[in-house]
Amino acid sequence: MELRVNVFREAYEYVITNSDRFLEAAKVHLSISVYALLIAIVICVPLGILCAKKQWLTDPIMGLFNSLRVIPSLAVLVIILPIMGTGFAPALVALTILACPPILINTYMGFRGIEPAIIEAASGLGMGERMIMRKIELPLAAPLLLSGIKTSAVEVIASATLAAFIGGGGFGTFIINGLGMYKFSLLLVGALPVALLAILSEIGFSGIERLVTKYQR
Amino acid sequence: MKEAIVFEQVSKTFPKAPKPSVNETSLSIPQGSFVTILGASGSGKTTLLKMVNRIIEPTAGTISVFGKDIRSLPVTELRRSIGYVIQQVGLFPHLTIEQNIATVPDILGWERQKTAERIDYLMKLVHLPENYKKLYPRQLSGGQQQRVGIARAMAGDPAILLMDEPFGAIDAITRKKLQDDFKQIQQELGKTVLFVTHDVEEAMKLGDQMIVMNEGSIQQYDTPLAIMSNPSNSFVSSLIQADDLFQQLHLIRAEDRMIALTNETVTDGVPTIQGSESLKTALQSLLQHNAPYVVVENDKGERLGQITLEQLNLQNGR
Repeated sequence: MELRVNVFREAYEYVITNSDRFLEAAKVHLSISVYALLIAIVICVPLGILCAKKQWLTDPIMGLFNSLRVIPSLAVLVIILPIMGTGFAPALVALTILACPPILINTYMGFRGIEPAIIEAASGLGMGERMIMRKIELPLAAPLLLSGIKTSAVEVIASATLAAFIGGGGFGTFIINGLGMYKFSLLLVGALPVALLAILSEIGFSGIERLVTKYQR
Repeated sequence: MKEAIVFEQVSKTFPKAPKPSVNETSLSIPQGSFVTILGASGSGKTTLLKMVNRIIEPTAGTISVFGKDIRSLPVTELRRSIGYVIQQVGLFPHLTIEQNIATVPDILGWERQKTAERIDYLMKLVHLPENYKKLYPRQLSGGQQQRVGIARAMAGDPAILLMDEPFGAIDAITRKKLQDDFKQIQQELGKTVLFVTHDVEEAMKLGDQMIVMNEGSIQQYDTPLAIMSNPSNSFVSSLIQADDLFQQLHLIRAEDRMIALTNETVTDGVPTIQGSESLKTALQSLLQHNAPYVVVENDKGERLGQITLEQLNLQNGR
């Protein structure tokens, strides 16, 4: 018991005395996660919509991303290593690849799940394609789309820890160092903020989801 | 009378289909008429309807609405001027009832005040309580949802309404009420209605004119009474069961067969029925009261005519 309390106090003291290193790690961790998520959204939302509308695209693209999903996060990071070397960029690429499948698949499902009669009614009333997209399809697909982004966000924040293995920086650095030095307090300096971030993003996205699904309650 | 919709040699063959869904069809729909299109599934009746607002594009021929080729203006503009109601209703689940009804006014950029007044008027017209405005579609029953569907289709005050089996998915009791209410709305506002159904009774009851379709061609286009008493071929005859006397009595409206009231007609203590009721009801009334005739009234209680046993014998006195 004594030991555990000490470990937390040591972790706290480490953060205080090395606040610049801690803040730098936080900055890298957050920015790499946010960039990976944003790039994945920009690529996968339009791609998911396209898959939902063009039947012939569905199988090849969904198949590709579904197989990507099976590869463990660490494996993706390690596979990138010989191709792109170490640092921020390869870590970002690896994380983006990880973030893609949930967003793509949920966008596809969100758009496929819209009753065709709703679209027929909308165009029958004289809405153009773009207006249907903006006023009908996007809002109706939004709940699933957001839950895809939420899954990706949590996954990316957790996996960004592994980015430290290929020199990407972030909270993972503390964990690797802590493991190497056999120092539990340092491990905690990395692990606790990551857990907290993951939980916060889960809560944040759930809140947005609740807002857009108000009509279902 | 002015023609609202005119088909000229219109055909539609779907890709890879062995034969056309609609085959070289010409017809005209007069303004203000309620025309029902009756046919089995695969008869081409829905294809015929959906070509008017270009949900389906014909492969040959021209369709014009109020004298104008429907291809002469942008498709969205055409559709905003034609009301469209479908069986699955297709309300927007994420929008409230009033937002649903406001769809076309919003597209047309109406002022808020004008749209709000229009919503109030339409909700009253289709018998929806005012406090439903803020509800979402899933909070309404199927029948109520279709009332919203009709209000939404009429929001831009279109002269023409296209309806694709609008009451097909609604239970029998609610359906009867919706039919009665909608028929009344149509008569009140003088809209031109093209109404697809596979229900013989519904087609006869609602239509001033009725189109019977089979295998992509119009078999007969006439008043329900004329089709019933004089089916043009064996297909029409079997579809409407023209040889079944009870069916006939059930489908013919009293006001279509009644004769004028004569001076010696005593109208005290004589049974009365509504003009929109069927001859079957008239017969029932005659037998129940053991009366020589029944008086036919309109919904305001004014006497329109009478029906005796002679009018119920459909084989004579056409």
